[in-house]
Amino acid sequence: MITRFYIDNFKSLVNFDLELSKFTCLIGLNGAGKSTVLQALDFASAIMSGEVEKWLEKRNWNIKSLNSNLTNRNTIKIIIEMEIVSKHYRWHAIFNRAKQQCTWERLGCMNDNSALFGVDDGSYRLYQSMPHQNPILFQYTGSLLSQIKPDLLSDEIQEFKKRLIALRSLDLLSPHLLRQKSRKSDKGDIGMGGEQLSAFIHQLKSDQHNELVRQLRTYYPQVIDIKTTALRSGWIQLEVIEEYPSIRYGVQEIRVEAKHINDGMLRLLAILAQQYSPLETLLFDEIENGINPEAIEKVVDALVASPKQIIVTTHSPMLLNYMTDEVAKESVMLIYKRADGATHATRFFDVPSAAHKLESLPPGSAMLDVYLDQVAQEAERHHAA
Amino acid sequence: MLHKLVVAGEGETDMGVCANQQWICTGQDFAPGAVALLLFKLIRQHLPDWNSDNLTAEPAAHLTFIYRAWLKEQSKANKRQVFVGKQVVKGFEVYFRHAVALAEYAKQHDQQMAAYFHDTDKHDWQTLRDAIKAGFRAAEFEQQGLAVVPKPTSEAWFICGVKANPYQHCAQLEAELSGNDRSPERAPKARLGECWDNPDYNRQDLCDLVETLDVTRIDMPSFNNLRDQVKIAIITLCGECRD
Repeated sequence: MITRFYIDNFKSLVNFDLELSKFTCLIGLNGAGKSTVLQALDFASAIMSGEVEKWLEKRNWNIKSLNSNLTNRNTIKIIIEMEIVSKHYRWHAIFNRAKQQCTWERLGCMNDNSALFGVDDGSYRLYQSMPHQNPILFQYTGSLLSQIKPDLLSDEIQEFKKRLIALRSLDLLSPHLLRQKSRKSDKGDIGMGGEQLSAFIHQLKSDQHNELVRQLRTYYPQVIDIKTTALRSGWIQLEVIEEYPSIRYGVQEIRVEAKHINDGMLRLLAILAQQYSPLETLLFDEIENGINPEAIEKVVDALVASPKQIIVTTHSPMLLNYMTDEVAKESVMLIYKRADGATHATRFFDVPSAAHKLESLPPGSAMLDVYLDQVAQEAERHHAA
Repeated sequence: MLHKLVVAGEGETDMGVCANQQWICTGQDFAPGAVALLLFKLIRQHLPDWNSDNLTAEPAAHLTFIYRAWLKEQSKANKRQVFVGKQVVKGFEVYFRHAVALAEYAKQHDQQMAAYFHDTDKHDWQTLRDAIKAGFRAAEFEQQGLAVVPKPTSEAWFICGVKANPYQHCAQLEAELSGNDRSPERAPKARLGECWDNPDYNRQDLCDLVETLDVTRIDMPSFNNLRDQVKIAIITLCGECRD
């Protein structure tokens, strides 16, 4: 589980520090930088996998547009702290935009302050297997860890790397992409925008498939099955089978092709299907979009109980209302812009005025009953003091 | 007929305090505060004789007191609804929900009126009062639910009766006094102590003061509004009220 994320010089994130829990919910006004936080985490993951260029391409972004207009620095600094089986690790990297690579890196165990890996001055060290300095004589993008043969990396390094790569931001999740037919893929996830949903569901094991149908039925009782069909052309088509009482036939089955399934059900299906992906950290932007309020409680319960680390952004008071106070106190983070334009984060219910509201209101109503900009100012005064 | 009413306030000097370590108390276990006594006096003033004869002079026998902590707990229960909107202005949902909870208690426990006290302080008086009334309305207890909202604080009502020219031009006090007790010049508590020549007054002193006040002569918009609400409640319960 990622416990801390620090990034400097990524869009509006300047000297930005965020503590993360197993479930984290980012709230804040439009333009505060919530989605940017998700993108930045996804970017950190892309650096670790060495797929920076591909990542930029997918988003149709230019490397030049990554850095913040608020500073003149050229490099992007990232710190990720992760808890793996009660041990804490810290990866610290300086990403050079011009070279598209980390020119400085440190990975270490925080429990005993031991170093595991380092990059500095054109050379690298693997403290357990190759403790001396090794010159970097090859081209690479992102983290140098993406290029080193796994068998040279210690178990701890491999585990850290694997977990960071198994992070995906679904901030581009859209009904339009979810409706697409997709080709079989060995990637094992639904894709950044959900474009691989049909192929992903197609490769689920039958018990997973049945469980997915069962879960979907708790939201939409009329659903009796989800069918995926491999078409001759290699595309996978997704259909939902619904059942309705019929005067003529007793019961009537209706097959609904993905392109006609309602937005909310598709998004819910995508969110539910993620439990079977090999991904470990999942990021959803505006999780409540398209989902009717009646289903929100179950969505919250599913997210909080998920074995994966989940980070969501939301504007929905109802979504927050269905969190227990304990979950809300721990997981709701207010993202706001400071007077200088930099995005900042604070634990929402640690701010006294929000905490005071929580005494009488459920968490979402408390969020709605305060002015978020005033809470942000209060948090700033608190920091300054 | 009015026999019992339930009250909730901010602190022990306004609606009162329980002597039995409970969240809800009445009778001997309840020590009414100055605002509760003032309200009781105001109600008796307007009750028809046949009803006020049935009320003993001992307010605690007819009043049930609920701590705000209990209301807070009740308020949190409704997660399905979000009430902030045109009727309940952002920032005031807490008072709306407290009023709902108080009214629900009144309805379930055979209390004929419910009174929710909160100083205006630095809020907008109308918005606060309307949010409380909206809560009573939502619980279908609007006529019998009293929003007791002095402006800026309850001391303003007391000052009206003890200042140099008692009961004269009291409406001005609402504008003159500050809703903030830290404002040295216009702090209601300090001003009351000054007028009364008793800067260190305590809870009991306030209760004794209420004994001497003439509720018919307090002429302040926030108090008059309470008086109007009391009259409506009495008419709802008794079919008539004394002017």
